[in-house]
Amino acid sequence: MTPYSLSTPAAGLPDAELARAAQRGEKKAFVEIVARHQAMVCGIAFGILTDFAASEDAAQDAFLTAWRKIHHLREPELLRAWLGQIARTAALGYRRRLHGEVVTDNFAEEADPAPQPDEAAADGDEAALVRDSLTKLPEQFRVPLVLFYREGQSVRSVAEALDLSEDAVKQRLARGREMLRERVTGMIESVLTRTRPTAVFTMLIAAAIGALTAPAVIAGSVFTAAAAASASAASAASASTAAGGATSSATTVATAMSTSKSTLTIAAAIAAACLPLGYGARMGMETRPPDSVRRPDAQSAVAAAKAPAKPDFSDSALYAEWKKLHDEHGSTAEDMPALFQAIADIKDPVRRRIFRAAQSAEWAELSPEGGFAFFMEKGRDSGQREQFFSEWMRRDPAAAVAALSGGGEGWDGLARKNLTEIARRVPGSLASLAAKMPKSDNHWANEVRDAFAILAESGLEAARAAAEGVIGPQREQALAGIAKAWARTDPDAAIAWAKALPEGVDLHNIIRAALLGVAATAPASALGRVKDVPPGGREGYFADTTGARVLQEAGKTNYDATVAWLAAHPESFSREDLLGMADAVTQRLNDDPAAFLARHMADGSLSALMPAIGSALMNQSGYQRPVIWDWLKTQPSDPALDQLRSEIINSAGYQNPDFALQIARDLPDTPEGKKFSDSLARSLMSASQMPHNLDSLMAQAPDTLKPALVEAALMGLNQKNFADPQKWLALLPQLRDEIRENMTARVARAWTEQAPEEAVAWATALPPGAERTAAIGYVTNAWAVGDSWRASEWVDTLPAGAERDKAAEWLVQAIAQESPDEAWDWAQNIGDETQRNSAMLNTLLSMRRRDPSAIADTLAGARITPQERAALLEKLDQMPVEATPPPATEATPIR
Amino acid sequence: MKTSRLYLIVLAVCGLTAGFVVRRMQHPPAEPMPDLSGISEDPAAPAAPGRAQPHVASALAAELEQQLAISPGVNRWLLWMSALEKAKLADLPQLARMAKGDSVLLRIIGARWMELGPQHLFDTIIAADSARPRDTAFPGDRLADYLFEEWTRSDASAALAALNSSPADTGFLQNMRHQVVNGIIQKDPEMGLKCLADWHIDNYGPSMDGITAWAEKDPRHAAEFALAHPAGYATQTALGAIGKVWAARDPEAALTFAAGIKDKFGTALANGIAKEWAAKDLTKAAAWLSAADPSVRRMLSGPVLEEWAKTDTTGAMQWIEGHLAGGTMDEAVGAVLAGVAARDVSAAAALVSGMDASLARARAAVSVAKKWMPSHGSNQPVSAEAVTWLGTLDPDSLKHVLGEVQWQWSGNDPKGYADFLTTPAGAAAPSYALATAARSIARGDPQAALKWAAEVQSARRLEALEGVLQEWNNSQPAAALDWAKQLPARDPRRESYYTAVLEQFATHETASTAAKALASGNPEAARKALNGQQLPPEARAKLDAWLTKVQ
Repeated sequence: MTPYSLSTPAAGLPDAELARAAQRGEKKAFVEIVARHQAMVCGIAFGILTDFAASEDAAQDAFLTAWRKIHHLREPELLRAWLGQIARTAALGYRRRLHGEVVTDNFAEEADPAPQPDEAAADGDEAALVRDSLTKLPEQFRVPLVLFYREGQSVRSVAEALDLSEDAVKQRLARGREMLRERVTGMIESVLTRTRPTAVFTMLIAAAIGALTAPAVIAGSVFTAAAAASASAASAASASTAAGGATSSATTVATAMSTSKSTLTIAAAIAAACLPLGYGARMGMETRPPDSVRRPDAQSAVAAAKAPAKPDFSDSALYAEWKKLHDEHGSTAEDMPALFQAIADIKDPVRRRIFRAAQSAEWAELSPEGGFAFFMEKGRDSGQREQFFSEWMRRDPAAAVAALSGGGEGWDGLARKNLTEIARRVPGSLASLAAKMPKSDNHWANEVRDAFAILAESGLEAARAAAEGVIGPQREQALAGIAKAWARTDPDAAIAWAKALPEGVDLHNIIRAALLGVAATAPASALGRVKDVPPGGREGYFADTTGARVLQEAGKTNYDATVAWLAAHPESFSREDLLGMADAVTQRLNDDPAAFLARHMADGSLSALMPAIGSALMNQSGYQRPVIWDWLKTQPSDPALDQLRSEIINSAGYQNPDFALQIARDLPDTPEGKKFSDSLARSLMSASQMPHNLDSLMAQAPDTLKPALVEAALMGLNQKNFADPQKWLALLPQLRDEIRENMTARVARAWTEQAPEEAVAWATALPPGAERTAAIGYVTNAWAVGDSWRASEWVDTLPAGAERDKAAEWLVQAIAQESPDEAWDWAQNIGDETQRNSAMLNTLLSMRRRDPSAIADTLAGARITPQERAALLEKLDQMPVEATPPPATEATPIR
Repeated sequence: MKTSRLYLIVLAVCGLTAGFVVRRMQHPPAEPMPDLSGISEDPAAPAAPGRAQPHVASALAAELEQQLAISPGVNRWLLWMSALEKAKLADLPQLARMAKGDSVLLRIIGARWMELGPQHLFDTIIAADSARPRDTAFPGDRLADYLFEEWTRSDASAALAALNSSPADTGFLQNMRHQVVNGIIQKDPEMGLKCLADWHIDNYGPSMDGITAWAEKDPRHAAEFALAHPAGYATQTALGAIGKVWAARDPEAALTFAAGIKDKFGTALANGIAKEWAAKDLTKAAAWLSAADPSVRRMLSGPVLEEWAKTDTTGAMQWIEGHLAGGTMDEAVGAVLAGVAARDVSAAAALVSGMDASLARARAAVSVAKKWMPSHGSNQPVSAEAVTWLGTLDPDSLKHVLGEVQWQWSGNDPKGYADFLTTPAGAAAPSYALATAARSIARGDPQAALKWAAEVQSARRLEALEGVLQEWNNSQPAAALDWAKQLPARDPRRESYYTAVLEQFATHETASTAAKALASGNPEAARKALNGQQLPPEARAKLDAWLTKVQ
């Protein structure tokens, strides 16, 4: 019995008794066996595999095999030797699998970058050195050496485990140590000692055989077993492994507890030491599959509940093919290009892709530099390059980043994709890498900013210094990252810092980044500060103004608070800014349109959200239009709801003509309904098929919509879609009298833009009268806008009279702004006094707008009476600068 | 001693429990898996539409997860390989979640899912998209990209049927339609064009590779089919591609067909044909064009002459002289210069410089300027040589040029564009050109934009200022108002500000902001600005009432 035995009756029993108890199915007895012999089993496995993680995997296999086969043990007294044999078999089996899988000449299964349970005790360099050195030793010397240190330097226990005499063990140890270079020995001894398996290992086996019941009890019993085993080791005190620390001190502590006045300190130490054990216990439990997927029979239960079992690919056809590929093309670094090509030639996408991924990992293990050089060659697929690099990053980020810094084809793309990961894993290289990166062509690229924000989160001062040291095109992004991260905790300081930065970067952009940081923690504060920065953004880009970006972040952080702020501060944001809410609104609108709308109608925020709703309806929420339209039918008239009706109508007209026509049938025959019909028709006609789709729409549209459709079609005519004049002219008689003239002007304009001579021929062929005069005016105006030379020449050919006056008046209207002097000449020559005065006034207004001093000279040289001059000046004085009156005789100028 | 041991035990248990709790807090257990009882016994059986359950527990996935936790490097992939080989349909949703967004892995899972049952993948994606609360861990978007990319390739009809028969018509599905169309049109152009028309996809430009191969078989049929299923931009592009193919086989018949279609689709078809024919057999193309009626000549001379000018500028110009007149001739000159510019833009610029001011020169200048502009989105400035040349253009040519290139120029290099407008040549710039510059600068820095406006040629300064204020008032009305309030009462910029506010009022009806602006400072200036605006009567009455109140 160990002196601190708790509830486990097995603790302290001889091996043979434990073995017999285990043969009766007593799991706790087997846990005791594990705790007692795990160091030996792991040691044998490590001696063969020379890899900490792999040795524990093999040791776990060995113990699970032992549990399953414990009833085969005929001489329980020889338990230790029996376990040693199983361990050796398991390790060799593991090595064979490795041999077939990846490498042929060593045991170097790659260590995961995240430290394995025991490898955490040895840093990467030490582990590599130990592995390399031990690999070079013959197995007969390596195994005793490993066992010796892992078994607390007990020659006897090593001898028992290997079925050797103690003298033989001593000889082999001596020879093995001689074979290691002097300077390496000390480190190997230290590492081997520190990497002994701990209670967590015991716990995993206990979990696997189903010996665990309740966390505290489990932990307690395992703790006891592991502590007993550890206490028997001579100097197991490895401070780097909390469990080891706790167990090695257990005896001392137990004694001290009864006598020392430092009870509280010791108690705290014990509790602290046990904490990682509890953590490990929980972790072990998490790896078990859920109850719902366990198989019911006892044997399966062990299999399902066991801790991560060794992968077995023996029944995998894909694995067999993978192995065959290696058999055919080789497994060394030099063979990788040929293997790569063989994989590329596979037609089946599943196999090709997964083999390619596996080969990237393999290559990154075997020869990362060689692989990198291969994938960085010109013409290589960028996706495969990224895949390889990500594998290298997993394995050895520092080396990967160092290679990346050397440049090469597509290096900056790789750097950009991995920059945030680099900030986490190789932070020291971030600044120099960023400084080398060219400016991205992508307006939305924020990788550098985000990477520096990550850097700042782990140490503001150092990150700030690093960002301030970045020169080149990424400097602004680097500083923006600092501002963004800093502003989350201290907005004022971050913004003050940004404002004080030296020139050379757009300080507004850095302050904008700070606002995004604020928005992520205190939305209302960020929203209130938006006006302090220019609007920003690029015209034509969706939601990239300062306001939109801050709103987007604020909406993500706290939607309700953001909406409440918007409702309380109407008109603080432009329509473009409010599009920043589109994502948040889309998601909620799609979840439950009626509830969403009713809620925002009730709290008064619907109007503020309308731009975002409109955007949602044109995009991801388009399919909700029928639901929303039905909901709207139940709602009263209200400005905000009418706005929503318009949004539905516009988006349906543009995207879903079938539903738009349904809406048209719902619209009442009232002035209000007419307004919506007009809007609907304009949307239907704004689609790019116009006017190709007019006939089909007219065939399906309700009568109430048809006039609006014709009107909208004519309104939308232009040079490119005009094509067939007769078709449009034929529509004019169908129009209401009050708009027919305006629509005639539209047809004339489009026709003139396309073929002015033809349009002129049409106008002049009309029967004499008001309609022909008006048509001549429209054609002249449109022609003069596009080609004032030919339009002027043509007007000059017209005989004096009403038609010439009309044409001249419209000509002046078209050219006054760009060519006021020429316009003035034309205006003076108009015969009709009213039209002449109107044209002259029009021209003078354009002159005043450009150069007020020119007016006096113009009037001084004009062929007009003093009265006319005075009247013009008086009228001019009454007209504000922006005024541009239409020709005197027309109410609807062509614009 | 016994008491001490008891303490030891208790404290140890406390520590263990605390550790246990900490781990649990750091890694809360996943949401409980739903009961499996409702799931088919045969997980490989194809799921009925809508029945796919993305939350089904998978023993395979659970085992894989355990193994992955201890398997680095290549073993990680071998484990995935083995798991995917064994996976049934019911395992795949959980495996997809386990990929945690790894794009390589997701493509592999997607490929395996496609092998086992694309309909099941589709149903799972739709189920996850419709799930409330959202299943954010399931990478539906990315799997959908893969699904439709592959499905349209392997079985387009099934993909189409799935999309059309899905009971949920979500925005997600609508997005997918674009992708499906893009895939289908490669393989079955007729089906693709029909989908575009049926789904009312008007502004989409799928790849035309499939269209070309389809048109090779029977270009007339291809053109007729495309015209019978109009779908906006895609149809135009398709007709261009068809025209190119048709031109190689029987250009004359093709052009005759195209000339009979009196709309933009006909123009698109005819342009494709004419361009191709001219490139291959200029003499015949020109001869055909010479004999065509004037409206056909007007429509088709551009593409033919552009090709012609690439090799024989003089011949192209002589043909123009002999066959075209009026506006059509001007357009044709522009096309010739486009051909010359494609070969040597500096030489083309020199040709334009030697022309007299006319519409033909303006069209020619537009062709040269377009060639000289860095591509949209490149963020490259216009070369100094080009800027100098633009400065030598006559006002009317410059007006036409700026009308065509202002967005491209100001988008790539707003400062360069704005600076050009402050040069003497900028005095001839049309108002919209100034407004574009004002907007682009004011968005980035209103104060800088105000400074820029002050540097514009005096005759245009006021316009520039109003452009700046319009943009500022539109984007940050409060900040713009603050600025206006600080101006001296008689500062003429107040009037510009009011004008800008009223302009916004007329278009956006942000009445209260406008009212606040009008109520501050100098009401007389506001009144003057109001009188000059064309406003709806009710809006004018409202503003008038406010002004009366503040006066």
